[in-house]
Amino acid sequence: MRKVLCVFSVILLLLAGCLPKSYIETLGIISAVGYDLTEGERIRGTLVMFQFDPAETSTSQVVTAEAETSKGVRFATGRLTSHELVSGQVRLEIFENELAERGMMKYMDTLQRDATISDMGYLATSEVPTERLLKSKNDEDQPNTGDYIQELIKKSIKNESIPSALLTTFMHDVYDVGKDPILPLLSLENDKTVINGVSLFQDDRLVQTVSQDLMFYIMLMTHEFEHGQFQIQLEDEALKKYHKKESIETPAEGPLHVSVHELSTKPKIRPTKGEPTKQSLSLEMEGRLLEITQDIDLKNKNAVKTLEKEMEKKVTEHLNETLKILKENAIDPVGFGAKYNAHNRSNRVTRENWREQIQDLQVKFDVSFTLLRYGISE
Amino acid sequence: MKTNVRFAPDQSVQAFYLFFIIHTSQIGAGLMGIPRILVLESGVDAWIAVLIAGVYLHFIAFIMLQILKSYDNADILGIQCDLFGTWIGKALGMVYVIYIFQLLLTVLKNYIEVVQVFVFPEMPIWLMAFFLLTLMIYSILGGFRVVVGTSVVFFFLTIWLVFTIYKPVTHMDWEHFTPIMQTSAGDLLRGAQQVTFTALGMEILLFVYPYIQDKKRVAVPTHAGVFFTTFLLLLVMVVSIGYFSPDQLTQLVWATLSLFKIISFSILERFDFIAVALWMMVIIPNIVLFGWMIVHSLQRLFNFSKKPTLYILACCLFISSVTAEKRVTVNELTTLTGKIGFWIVFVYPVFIYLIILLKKRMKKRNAP
Repeated sequence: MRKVLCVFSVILLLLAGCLPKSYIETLGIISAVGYDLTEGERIRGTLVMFQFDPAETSTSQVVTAEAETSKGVRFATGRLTSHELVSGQVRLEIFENELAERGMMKYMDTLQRDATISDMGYLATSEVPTERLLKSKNDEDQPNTGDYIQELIKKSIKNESIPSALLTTFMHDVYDVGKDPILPLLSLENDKTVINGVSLFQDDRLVQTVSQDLMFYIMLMTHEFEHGQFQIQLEDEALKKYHKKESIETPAEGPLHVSVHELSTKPKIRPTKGEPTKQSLSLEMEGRLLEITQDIDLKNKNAVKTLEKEMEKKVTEHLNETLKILKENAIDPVGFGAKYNAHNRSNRVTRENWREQIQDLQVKFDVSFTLLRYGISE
Repeated sequence: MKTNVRFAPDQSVQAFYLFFIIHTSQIGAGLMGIPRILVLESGVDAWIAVLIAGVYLHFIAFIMLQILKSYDNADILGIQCDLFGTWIGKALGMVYVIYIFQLLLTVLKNYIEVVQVFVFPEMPIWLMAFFLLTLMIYSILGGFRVVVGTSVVFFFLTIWLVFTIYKPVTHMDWEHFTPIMQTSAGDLLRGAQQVTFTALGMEILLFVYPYIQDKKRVAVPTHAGVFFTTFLLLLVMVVSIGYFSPDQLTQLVWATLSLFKIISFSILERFDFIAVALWMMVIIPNIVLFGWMIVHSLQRLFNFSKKPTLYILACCLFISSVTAEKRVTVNELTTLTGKIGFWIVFVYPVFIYLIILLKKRMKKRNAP
């Protein structure tokens, strides 16, 4: 018995060597990938990879190749480097807008199918070819531009200045009926990658890109802020009554801007029974005033109240404008359709009929704003 | 063949070990893929199907215990011979053996496939099969107590995986569940039937019963084991419906393992690799218990001596797992085993119980 066991354990030990080994010096660990559309309807992929070769001075390398599929890109890049490319550490995938407009799922199939790829990677779209983006040299001392972009997105999500861009969130939103995904939009400014707004999708097809300001109002509807911030311009004359005495003689010039920090919000969507196009959205906002461009007497309770009222009015206005853009493009990143489905058994929204109904969507906004504090000056 | 068998106390185990035996033989490779299969049948109400199946599992556990209680110290092989005569009884015993062999093969193939897809795409099947079968031989050679010990140890080594589910829970969308009961009753029942493949293995109760020392306390650990299985299935089902979109879930072959994909620690970025590796500990009790059942049954039926049977069994498993290569065959095998298992484990015991009742009544009538 003991002899048999001994033989067994020796065999097991030796057989363990049959498994394929990966030495880190021989690997090119892909950390970011960018896909562009070329003229010939092919994909041009740009891979940012780490290499841990003691002989080499730079730890990362960027390679580009063209192919028909995204895995084909990886295969084609194989002849450009002596390292074996592995995709277990891909944390950023950028798609050029032209490519995203054709539907991302067919290019993302491998992200879902290949088990080695993490679900916690970030997705983004880009106005400029991703090759230029990933090859731009300005990366703020990060090991490479891929890492810089990834940190940029990560920080912005944490600061609640862009919605979640995780692969798992995107997949979830694509597959949910009555909800469309959003992704951050990247661009180049002075040869440096910046976030330039968000791209809005119809299912997996990019249809519209919007600015940072509009994105905030989309996020107001979808996202529960905990410590966000925003700026808003109010009517110049709205708070004239409450200007401080000294400044009445010399009224402040220019428009009235208010900046709010530590913003926390609670959006609540209430669909009407049986009518998917009639919904109401109540939004409770709380925040701390940190900057105001006119001299307002904030000791006066009525002044604060008027300020809150004005802000509610303005926010509602912006929300309506945002909704108009969403309706024009027949997109629903907020998930009004999904919300309706969650509460109704009959007349349910499907992928097909919701697209047509979005144009008739009517949302009644009910915004309430509370100013908690206003800094250390009065 | 003797209907009732006795074992010395040093060969038998306490009743509470039944909890581990039943639970670990039920949870195995099936749990990895259950969310997709269930959602395909019952949609987002799949968790109700799990509850229905859970109630039925308890019912079957009850029936099995009733069957066993009507005899002194018998297992299903002896009972079949007693009811139908030696020849038919032995034939039915062989049906059990073949079915368990197939079940064992399914578990083995499914796990090897998962390892190939997730961790080592280039790894040959025979290597993994060899490793697992070596472990199986090793622990079965130790006798029944070692087999039970394996299931206890590996239960505790893997149960903590349940706690890692907290991360997907934070990403859950509860609105996927409302409004509840959108699925028709027929679809729910079909879903409940699908759950049974995952819960196959509880027939082991019919085999280990003679080995239990305190027969009076059998009911509680048995039902506790079945309950815990149902609870785990329910947990996995609820979390994956909430975390994935229902349409997305229909695309994911091993949704349970995909749940682990978002867990990461600063020292361990890709927890899913660890989870796949740890899953071996979930299926080892499966393999060991099923292997023991086959060897034990063959000995009971035909007086085969244990060691040669065990080696031959391992060879058969090895050859059959190497020959079926493609994903499709694994799928077909899994579906077929599920179907056969459903009849053998979840319908057949009721039939046996009815015959036992009938027999008792006949005896009463015949006796003056």
